[in-house]
Amino acid sequence: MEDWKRELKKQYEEIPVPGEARKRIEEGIQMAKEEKKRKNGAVIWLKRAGETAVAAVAAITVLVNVSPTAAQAMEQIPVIGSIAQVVTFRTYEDHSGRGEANVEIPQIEGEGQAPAANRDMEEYADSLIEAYESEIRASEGQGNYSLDSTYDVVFENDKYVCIRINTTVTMASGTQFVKIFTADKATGQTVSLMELVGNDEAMLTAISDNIKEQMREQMAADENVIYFLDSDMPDEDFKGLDGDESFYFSENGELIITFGEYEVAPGYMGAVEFVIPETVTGNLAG
Amino acid sequence: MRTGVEKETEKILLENYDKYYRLAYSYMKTEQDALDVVQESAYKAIRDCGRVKEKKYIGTWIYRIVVNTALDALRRRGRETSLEEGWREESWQPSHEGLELREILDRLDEKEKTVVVLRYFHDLKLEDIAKISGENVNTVKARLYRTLKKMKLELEPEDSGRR
Repeated sequence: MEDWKRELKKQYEEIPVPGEARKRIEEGIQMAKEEKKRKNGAVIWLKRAGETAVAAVAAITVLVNVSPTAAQAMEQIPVIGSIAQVVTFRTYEDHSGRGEANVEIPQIEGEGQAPAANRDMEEYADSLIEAYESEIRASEGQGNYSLDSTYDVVFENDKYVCIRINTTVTMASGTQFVKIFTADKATGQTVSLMELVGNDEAMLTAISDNIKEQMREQMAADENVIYFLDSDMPDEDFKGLDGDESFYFSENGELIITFGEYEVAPGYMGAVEFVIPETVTGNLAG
Repeated sequence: MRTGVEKETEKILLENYDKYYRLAYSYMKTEQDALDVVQESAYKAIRDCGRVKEKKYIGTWIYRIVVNTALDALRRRGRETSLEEGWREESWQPSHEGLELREILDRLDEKEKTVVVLRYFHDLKLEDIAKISGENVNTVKARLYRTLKKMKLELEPEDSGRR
């Protein structure tokens, strides 16, 4: 190596590394591990949500026995009205030290009974808040951490209402999370992508293939567009959908799959979405 | 299998924390911001390490996370404030006369900085740098040579005066 390169390298290696650096690495590791644990927790919770649905059905059965008119009425009333009222159920705010949080938690107003989807949305918000609070506790006032979460209704027809939760978690830079809850108006339950396609693996694969095709086209058309696909690091590439991805529908009823930051593309691409043509999916929006 | 990757990722993070810190610092220029980047990178590495199936890629992959996290942070900060960008720490004052790493780094843009820092200060191969910056090897190679030429031009008058 030439002298001047050696000289510069020496200076680089003299950049002092504060003792805190190792501690902050450990904290980052800890945060991720806790988040992973929570994700496992969510699976258990969903199973419990299933039981709640059974309980709701039981209640309706009781009504049927008691009053035949009530039974007739119940049959016709979907859990969520034809124009869903989506309101802010609760707001979580925190401004403590270097932490800052603002979380809006939506709920759908049901006709009579509360749609089960509300609990899914609340649970999701609670997991964000919990992560924020544990980070604030762990950091002991060191480091900035902010959480901002808002929602909007991105689609609605007679059958479904889709509520998108936009979350930005900021430490040094920031990560955008997107989570969309699609509620079936008839049952009030959250519908997963897998359920939407009727547990049809072949359909899911067809959608995955269409997404890959779109990624390749976009990358070929614009060199600034990069997706994790056909890269030098095949392990990191987008392999296909697993059925838990967030989705909603376009005005024309086309399926739109959304991905959070870093999920299928480098951070600078932000959160990305793909519109799947009806020729691939048929009519899913109903 | 998966926990194997996570353990390995954790091990690499803890063994090389000083390297990640210096890399972050060369972009962020302040201790606080570099520490934030380092923490967030460690978080992302553990969170997403399930996606890396072969252990031999982990090292390169973490570098990529640190670089992207730092660049993201700069971009977002650039949007939010118009801070006068400068090296704020007085603790790092090279004892040498003549070429100053800080000055040189300031004259390079982000892409040039990435390739120079990773190639010469972290001794990474061009192939790995290409993976880190998401570009092909030839692009990276061309940029490295161009940047070196630029650095030499800036350094030489001073250099020859000294010797």
